[in-house]
Amino acid sequence: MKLNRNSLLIAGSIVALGMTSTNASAEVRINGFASIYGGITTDSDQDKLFGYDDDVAFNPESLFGLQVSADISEKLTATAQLLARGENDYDADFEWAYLTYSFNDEMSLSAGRIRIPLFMYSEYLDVGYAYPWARTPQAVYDVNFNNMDGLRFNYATSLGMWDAELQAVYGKFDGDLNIGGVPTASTLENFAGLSLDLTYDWFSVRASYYATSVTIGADVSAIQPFFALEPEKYNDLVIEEDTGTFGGIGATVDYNDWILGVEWVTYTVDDSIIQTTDAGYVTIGKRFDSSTIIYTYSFLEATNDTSAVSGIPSTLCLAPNPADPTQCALLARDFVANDVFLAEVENDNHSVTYRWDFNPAAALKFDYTYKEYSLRDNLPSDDSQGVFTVGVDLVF
Amino acid sequence: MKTLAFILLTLFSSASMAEIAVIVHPSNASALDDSSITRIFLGKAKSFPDGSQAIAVNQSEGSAATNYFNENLVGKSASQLKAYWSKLVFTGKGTPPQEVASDAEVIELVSKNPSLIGYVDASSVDGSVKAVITF
Repeated sequence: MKLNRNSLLIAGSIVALGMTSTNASAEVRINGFASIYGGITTDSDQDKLFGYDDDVAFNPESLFGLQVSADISEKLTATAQLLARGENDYDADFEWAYLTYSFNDEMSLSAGRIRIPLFMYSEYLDVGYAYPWARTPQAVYDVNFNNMDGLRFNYATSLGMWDAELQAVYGKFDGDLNIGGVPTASTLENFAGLSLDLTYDWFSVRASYYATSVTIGADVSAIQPFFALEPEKYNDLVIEEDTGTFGGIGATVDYNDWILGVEWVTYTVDDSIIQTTDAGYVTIGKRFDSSTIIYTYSFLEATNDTSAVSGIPSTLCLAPNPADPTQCALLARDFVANDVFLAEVENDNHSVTYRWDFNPAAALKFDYTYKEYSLRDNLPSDDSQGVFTVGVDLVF
Repeated sequence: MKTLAFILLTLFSSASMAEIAVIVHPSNASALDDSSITRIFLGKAKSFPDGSQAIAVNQSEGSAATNYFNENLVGKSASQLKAYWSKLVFTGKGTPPQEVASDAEVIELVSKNPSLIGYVDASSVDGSVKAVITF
């Protein structure tokens, strides 16, 4: 992983290796990763998919990352990752920056801006080289946020031939989340949870669970008058210090050049206009020497609990156009359930990816992904879109 | 069948390189098998079976010794290993073993430090280090 051409660092570390005590200055490691992708959709009438439309584009999924890590002492390491995304015009941002204190070989505590180990691939979403697909299955991984400021505790140990890794995180996210297509100021406070990974050579399983207090500044105050008689039902729509939960389970097999992966996740924000999302995928592939071909099916179902609309009385007079009060109430309930709650969605996705490891540090990938909706509020249910992408993932 | 296997084995070993030896400091009395060596080189074990610290030393990426070691002992291709280490490096959870350029350098480092473990062409092994397995 270390740059071979970085002979000065290597020479320094060899000296350190050879000596029994090291009091030389901090060792600095620089590693990088990059993905350069181009893509085009097959259908000009439909929405963009992964940022692509029916004109070839190279920026939506391309990125360049640089990680600098310095051992400040034997126990203390500083790590920062700078990431430039094509979709942001390659403006570089510090994706992570944290200090890690190692208590021993098994336990460490990191503090700073950390990546949340939400689901199986969440921690290295941007490092395309590390997984077989062109992108992680989006039904599961198209989560709005990935990083937060806080603490991460790691405990890694081996139990015979099994390796176990427990991660506990605590922190806060403060930033814009994409709510119904609109970036909206949001905070996730007291974000806390655990993930456990168990690995036996070619087999691994994982489970994770997180809870947080969610406040999202989506303004729905215009409908507050409907709930004059039952204000608590209005509070069941507003996203203010409501409990959000995230859970996931998954497993992977990499045996005799066969690759198998399954993952299922669910997340929601209680008592709010945010949907409950269930998503998952199954992926199966085979490695042939330096080539891998892999098929992935993924699904997403986002559903609403609209019971709070019963807080709108069964007769209602709407000021500008006083009509039949019962009719008005039905209209108001219908409006809140369908247009204030975020859209209910069901979609299925099929991907075929071919990966060619043409160099030990670079992989060429061809991908075709087809997405079809079986439910999509206010839109024809037969929407579908396909996208071809070709790209190179590398690490250095 | 046995003859065929023998011929294949002979062809294979003569077509590739000579045997590789995994070496440690002469004072290291740990019993090491393929899986315990693999675990040390993958960063999953950080100590020898006797509990003392273990630090792996690789040869250069792409060198004949490294390729032979990875494919025959670790059981992973260069790309698979790169992907494995990418996950650890870019999540801040591990760094791959240091690399040195030659058998002579591995032997010199290992002969001076009881924590180290490396691999060299079996014919390079001298009395300053101990070969734990040869394959």
